[in-house]
Amino acid sequence: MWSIIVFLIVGIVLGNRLNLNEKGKHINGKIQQVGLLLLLFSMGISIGANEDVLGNLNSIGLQAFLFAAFTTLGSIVFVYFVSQMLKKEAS
Amino acid sequence: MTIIIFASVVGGILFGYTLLPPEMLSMMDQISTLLLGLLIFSVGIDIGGNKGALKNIKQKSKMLGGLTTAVIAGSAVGGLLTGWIFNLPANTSLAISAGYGWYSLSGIILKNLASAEIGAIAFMSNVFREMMAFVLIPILAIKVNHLTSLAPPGATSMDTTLPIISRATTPDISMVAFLNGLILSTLVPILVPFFYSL
Repeated sequence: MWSIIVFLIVGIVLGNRLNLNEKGKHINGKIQQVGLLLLLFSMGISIGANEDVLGNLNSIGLQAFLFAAFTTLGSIVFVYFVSQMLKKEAS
Repeated sequence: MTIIIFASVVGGILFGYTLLPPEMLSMMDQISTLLLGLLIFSVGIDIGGNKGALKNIKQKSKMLGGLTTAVIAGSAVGGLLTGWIFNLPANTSLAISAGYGWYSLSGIILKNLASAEIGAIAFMSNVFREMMAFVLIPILAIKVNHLTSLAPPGATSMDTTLPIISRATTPDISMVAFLNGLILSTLVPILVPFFYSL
């Protein structure tokens, strides 16, 4: 967790100093896009190769899936209400 | 974007399940960590290059407070509902809901406090939550609004889903997302045992 904070802060400071032009921002965006797909692929590999994940899928898969679906849905509904409240307050 | 994200994750899972030699697994974790560091650095450059990033602090802290509170409350309601369906005790359901996508930690805590099975459910449900976040963030950012797109990722919005948030929204929202993830990540090791003790 600490390494993430350090990476972010170093990036912010550097981004602030560098003052990238549009071309630089575009290149940074492309790096993010490619890096993101590689990250998702490698995270997928870790999940697929983890025997705890697929070994448990039959017995508890449905429960785990519904916990994920309903906590996600509940969060979406509540955050949507907050976003509407903030919008009303701003106008 | 969503389809490419989905294909990358599913492709990785299939590759890891079928082709990857087991001795390469720890190397994959190192590669993920390295890629994540690089991406977070690149997101930092985006945020730092945006001159408005440190403006509107008041508006941003309002968004942040509302967002984090709503994610905690919404996850709790969703968790209780799921527990009710499967006849699980309320304290267990709430504890599972308080992983906010951080599967490794919530899984270990509940394996120790409750049982191997509850630990495995917490682990798996938070893996699923992170995967749902990968797919839902870009959709919600376009179809609903940027703040709502930060509802699914929970604690992961400070690391694994931050690059997606950065692509799908603005540097301002990415900043809010990072802080939201940081607060929720700090709360996971506090709230999971607390809910379980109720």
